[in-house]
Amino acid sequence: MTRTRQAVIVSTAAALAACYAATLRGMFQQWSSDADMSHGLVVPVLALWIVWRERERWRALPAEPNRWGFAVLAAGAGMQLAAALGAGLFAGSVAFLVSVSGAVLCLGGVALLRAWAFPLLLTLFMLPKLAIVYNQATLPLQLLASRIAAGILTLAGMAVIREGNILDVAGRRVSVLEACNGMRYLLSLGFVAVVLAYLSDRKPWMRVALLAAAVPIAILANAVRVAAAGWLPWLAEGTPHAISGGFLFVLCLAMLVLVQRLFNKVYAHFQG
Amino acid sequence: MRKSAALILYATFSVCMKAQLPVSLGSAASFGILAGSTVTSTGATVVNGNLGISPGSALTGFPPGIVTGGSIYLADAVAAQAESDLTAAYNNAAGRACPGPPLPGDIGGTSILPGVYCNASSVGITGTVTLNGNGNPNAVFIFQIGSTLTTAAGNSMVKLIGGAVASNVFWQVGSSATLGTYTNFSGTIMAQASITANTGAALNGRALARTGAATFANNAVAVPAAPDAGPSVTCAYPSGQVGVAYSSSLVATGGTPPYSYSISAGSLPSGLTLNPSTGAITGTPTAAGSFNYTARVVDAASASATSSCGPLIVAPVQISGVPAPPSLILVLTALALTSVYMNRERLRRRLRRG
Repeated sequence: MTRTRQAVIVSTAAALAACYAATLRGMFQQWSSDADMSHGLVVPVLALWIVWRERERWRALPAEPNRWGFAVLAAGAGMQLAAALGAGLFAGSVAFLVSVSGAVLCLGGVALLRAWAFPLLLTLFMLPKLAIVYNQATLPLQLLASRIAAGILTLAGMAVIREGNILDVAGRRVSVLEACNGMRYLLSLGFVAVVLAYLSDRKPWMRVALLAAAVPIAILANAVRVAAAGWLPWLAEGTPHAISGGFLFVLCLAMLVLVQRLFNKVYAHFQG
Repeated sequence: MRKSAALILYATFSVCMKAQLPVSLGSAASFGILAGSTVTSTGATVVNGNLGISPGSALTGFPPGIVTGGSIYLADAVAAQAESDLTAAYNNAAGRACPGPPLPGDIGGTSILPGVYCNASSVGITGTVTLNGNGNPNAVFIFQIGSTLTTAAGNSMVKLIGGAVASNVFWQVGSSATLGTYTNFSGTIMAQASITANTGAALNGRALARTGAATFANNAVAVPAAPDAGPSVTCAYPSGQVGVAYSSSLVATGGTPPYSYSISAGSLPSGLTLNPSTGAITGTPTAAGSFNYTARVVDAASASATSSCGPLIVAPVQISGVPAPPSLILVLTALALTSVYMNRERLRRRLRRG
């Protein structure tokens, strides 16, 4: 790589960092202050690690700068402008990722963008919460967790009456709050599922398959936690609540591994 | 026993010498809580009477604390006047002649007759101190304490018998007063600096702090009725939560102490019990709902009063706080386990090699 090219890459990175400084600061603040989003701190580190891990592959690619990259950069700049005018942090964060993709396309071409596609897509997990989606999803997820928890408790032989997000468990009422909607499990397990598939399986479709499998597993796990809290009141608060939450997440990971093995067996069967 | 007998003899003598008049509190009389700097409450504190702060204005914990039968006055003319009247009352109580001998350091377990008592240092109450009006409904008790007044934690009590009434009991405290947990206290505390009531303490009287803070935690405070008034009872705190310890108190005043408490209609939430002699309602609610009950108090002269209390609303268990560890912890744990899973063969070989 020539010195001129190195200088162009460094100055592009510096320009992106300068242009998106406020957005990056906002993202960092949300990762630091919102327990649902704190995994965002790991995402860029892991994405960079994957880029480094794959360095032999993408370094071998010829540099073929692509003019379409400027169009992508312009689209990113437009989004950033909209974010600055009031569209908010989410729009600014998407603009940042679009601009990074545009810069990669400009400097390295389509082949490099394709080689970096996975780590770039992985950074979607570091996007801040989109309030409108989060608010729309919260109540249905709460109700779903309540409904499944009621089913689990009924299967366990307990008398349960459900009124919306309130469970009457043998005369004791348990309210499933907004914080227990399962969003944290969903985001964290989705991210872990994709990373697990990347590390343990070379088939790209496995990443999508495990991400899809993570959704019902996370929802079910959250409902199990709610049911456990309804059954054993001491599990509903404080340290036991947090520990049971962590333990259940490890079980979710084990379930993902089992699902992956199952997918591989089915795949091998059809491959003959 | 010897301490008790000495006090009774001394008090009898002092009563014969001169009957005391009550300390005039002026406008401060309508205040259950009055402080110079701040009033802070945590949890379910009920105040039957006014609450005021002057010259400070920092009020914390109301709500969830509630003020019934009165208003809140923060750094206004009403609170300033009450503080001014409190200063006059404090000086009046401190200036009453105290013939001695000094009170012992701990008056728990003693029986005291009307009069003026003093201790230049600190006074404690461990257990029950009985104030015996000796049949006189106008009996006055004034305690001059140079430094601190402290009641021991766990059911210490100021018990009024023989016609003694809370409105005629005055505690002039040179520094600060601390009521230990679940103390059942009677009388007006006039502290130079601060007053602290720990969890569950009930005060049939007033907490009046001249310059410092008044701090409360799940307490019931009721301004005492006039000496000639019949008995009345203040309701306990009106809300709780399933699975969370509840502590509040019915507070009787007026009539002729001691009192006997009961629930004459309706019922308390399951899991809660009423102490018939102190009025304390404690326990852990086991079922959610809205509970109406009628509290009844009977005084020593068999006069009774009731109050319709409720609804006492018991909220369901809330799955609250952090629903799971932060996603950063979850993800890092999962990545560490994934790493172990990915390298399981290598780890196994290394373990085999020892």
